[in-house]
Amino acid sequence: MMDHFNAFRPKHDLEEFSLSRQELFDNPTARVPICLVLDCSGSMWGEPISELNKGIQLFMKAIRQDDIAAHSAEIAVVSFGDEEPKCELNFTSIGNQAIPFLTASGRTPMGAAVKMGLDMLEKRKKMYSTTGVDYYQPWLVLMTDGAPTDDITLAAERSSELANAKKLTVFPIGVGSAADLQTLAKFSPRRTPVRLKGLNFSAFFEWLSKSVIAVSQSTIGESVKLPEAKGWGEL
Amino acid sequence: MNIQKIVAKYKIFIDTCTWMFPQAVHFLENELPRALYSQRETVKLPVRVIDEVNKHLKSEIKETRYKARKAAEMIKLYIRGKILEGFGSSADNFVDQTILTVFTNYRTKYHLAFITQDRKLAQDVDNLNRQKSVRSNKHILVLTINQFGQLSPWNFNLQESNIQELMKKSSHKSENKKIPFSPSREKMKKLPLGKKVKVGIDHPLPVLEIPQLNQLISTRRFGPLRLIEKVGSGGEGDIYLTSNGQICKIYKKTSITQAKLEKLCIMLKYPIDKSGICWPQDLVFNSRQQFVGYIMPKAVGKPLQRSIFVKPLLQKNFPYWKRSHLVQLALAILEKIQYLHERNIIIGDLNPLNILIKNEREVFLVDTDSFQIAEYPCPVGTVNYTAPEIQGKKFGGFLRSFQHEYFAVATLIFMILLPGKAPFAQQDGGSPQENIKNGNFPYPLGQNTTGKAPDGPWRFIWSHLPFKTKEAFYRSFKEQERLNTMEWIQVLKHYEYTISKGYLSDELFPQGHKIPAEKRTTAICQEPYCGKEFDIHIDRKKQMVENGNKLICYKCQEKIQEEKLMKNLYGTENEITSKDQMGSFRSNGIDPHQDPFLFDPSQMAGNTNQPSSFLQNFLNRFKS
Repeated sequence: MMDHFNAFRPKHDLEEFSLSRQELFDNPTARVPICLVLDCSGSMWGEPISELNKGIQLFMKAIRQDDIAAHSAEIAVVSFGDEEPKCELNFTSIGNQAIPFLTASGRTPMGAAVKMGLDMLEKRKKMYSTTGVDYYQPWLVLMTDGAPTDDITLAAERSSELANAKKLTVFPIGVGSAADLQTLAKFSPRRTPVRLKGLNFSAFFEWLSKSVIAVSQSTIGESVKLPEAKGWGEL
Repeated sequence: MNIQKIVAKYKIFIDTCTWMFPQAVHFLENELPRALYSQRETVKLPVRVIDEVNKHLKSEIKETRYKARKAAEMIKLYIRGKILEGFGSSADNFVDQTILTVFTNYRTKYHLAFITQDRKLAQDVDNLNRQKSVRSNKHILVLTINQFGQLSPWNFNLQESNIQELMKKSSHKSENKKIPFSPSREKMKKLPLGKKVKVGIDHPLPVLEIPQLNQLISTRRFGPLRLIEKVGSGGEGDIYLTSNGQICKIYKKTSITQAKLEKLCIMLKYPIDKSGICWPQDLVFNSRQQFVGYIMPKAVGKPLQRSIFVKPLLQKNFPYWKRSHLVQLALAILEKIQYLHERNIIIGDLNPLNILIKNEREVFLVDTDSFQIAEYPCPVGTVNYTAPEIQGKKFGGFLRSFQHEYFAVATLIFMILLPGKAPFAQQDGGSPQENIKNGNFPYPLGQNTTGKAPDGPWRFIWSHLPFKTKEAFYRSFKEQERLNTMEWIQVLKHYEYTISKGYLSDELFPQGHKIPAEKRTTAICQEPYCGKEFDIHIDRKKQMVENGNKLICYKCQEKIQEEKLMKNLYGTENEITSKDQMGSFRSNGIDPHQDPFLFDPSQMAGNTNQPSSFLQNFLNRFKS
């Protein structure tokens, strides 16, 4: 029964899917999928969330402006607030994406959000792979200003495994003094979490876009040198 | 210009230099004869032209002889095809004089058109239009073949200033204007091939200041120049337009090394003056006479990566392009590469950002200071263009071989013909580097198929390539018998030929597999609610019917595949596609990746190295 139901999903889904495949046909450039998993819990309300929105805007604009990265980078956004994570932006070509506007409220379901992000990355990779489009191993940016309100064990294990196998690059970022860097570290065995200076999201996203551009034009495989992380880290 | 209309209205005259102009060959072999046949018209040819061509056939200069041979060949074909009438005799004056006399005599009777490459003569003939003593309601049209091989009217005003400029620049060059196809050919100077990387010269040189926008720089050849506009910047430094219209690269402090300086000095010792290769012209110094960069000629166009390699950009930049334009583009680039290879220069970092495209015939190789010169390596590279045996190696630490370079050449041609698609990108593939290292070229040749050719238009494009081209890729990517640049030129000329003969599709992105005309049949799609008629290979249809498989059109096949794929990806939680599932789907009898029906029309067409033309096709039809 279940199978039967799935075979006749609403038509617009298939159309969307078909469009997304067409994009992969039209643009054969090797892809860099990037998933932003962002804390939008109640504590982010006010200035933090508006600074975060500015940062995302800046990030997407910077990538769109780079000829190569615009055709190479793909961005998805998962927000976590309320009771459940929410997919704010799914993978497709950047040119067709509207920049999401995030609002803050509710709890901090970080574990579920990371799981959602990893699932989306997995599916996207599968999509590249079945279509036959080259891709670089994905990136996951995890940002929080607090501590999770759900169980993160499974999600953290999965993300660590992938990172250790060099199948995922995790960028764990703490926002403000309440951010629990120790929890963040559980997701990222290879890159130590860093704390954002004040609410300087823009500096971070600027750095991130430069890194994306560097990867999309990368010269020697995985040994891409990311630009120096100046201005946003507090090490 | 509409050649049909011109042929219908005017009597056409063509002078010797046009017959011998290489860029005119396409026009003379295709467009003009087609128009002449459809209008039942002829070209009028002074016998003196034939005399001149015959004289050039015996020229001491190889290039002139070659051009004359081509001209003679074409004139013979015109005569055989009865689209040319000779007139006059060998006793006539020089062609120029003859043309003027004939035009003066007939200009009141007929509309006359004259195609010439000689500006002075063109001007003289055009002036007849303004001769007031004899009034005429007839018109003289003076035309030329431009550098893109297109027929166009002479524009005397514009030309005037251009010529003056040219004269200023090259006043020392041969003044012999009678022969516009200047025979001067530089003697080839080969660079020495390096054996080992020269080491210990990577230290930066002391530089106190890096010139900025609007500042002065000094050069030996061109004197002081000003940096008037920043036109680009890269990892190594910034690119400026200078006050004399040339381009200047100013390095960052960290990139100014002894190695750089030595390499540039060698490059200056072996000057290359070929359009499209932005070879260093001179060193650049700052106000303290410290080396900071070099001068190069200006390049025009957009990088290959940003103009051809993404379908929407390709369609935006070159909306009129067909497959033959891609082949022509590849040939134009190969010609530059071959020029360098002949001189022992290995590009090293051949990549689509370093090749600028103005159009399919005008291309520019930039970043020449990264080329591998003698014992100075090319220190950079990109994954896609790196042979598997040197993947992951540090490029500055060894000298690349021609074999390494030929891998890059093959990749470049592949990514032009299948716009932007990397040759090793495949289903169930991974990163570009992994795919190249695994060395599993996914496209089918004959019965060899991996079933992993990427989805989308790529396998259709592949199926429409001539067998020779496919085989060349196969040898280069699968059997490590890489073709050299000259061999690739042959392969692509053959491709060009099969397209021009109409044997192979000229479509940029063909919609289905290649089906030879005599094997083409139709079937009715048996998918519910479709029922459309579609083209299918007769053998495949037979095979499918015998095996009891459904006959399904490409569109429905694609839809079915899409639904399956979507179900696999989003169907139920945790139901991530296993390879088995995909396998069972593929063995459904409809394997879209297989291309078992090979047909190479060129093998039937006999010797394939001949130039192709409408004219020859036309005549061949009457041969038997």
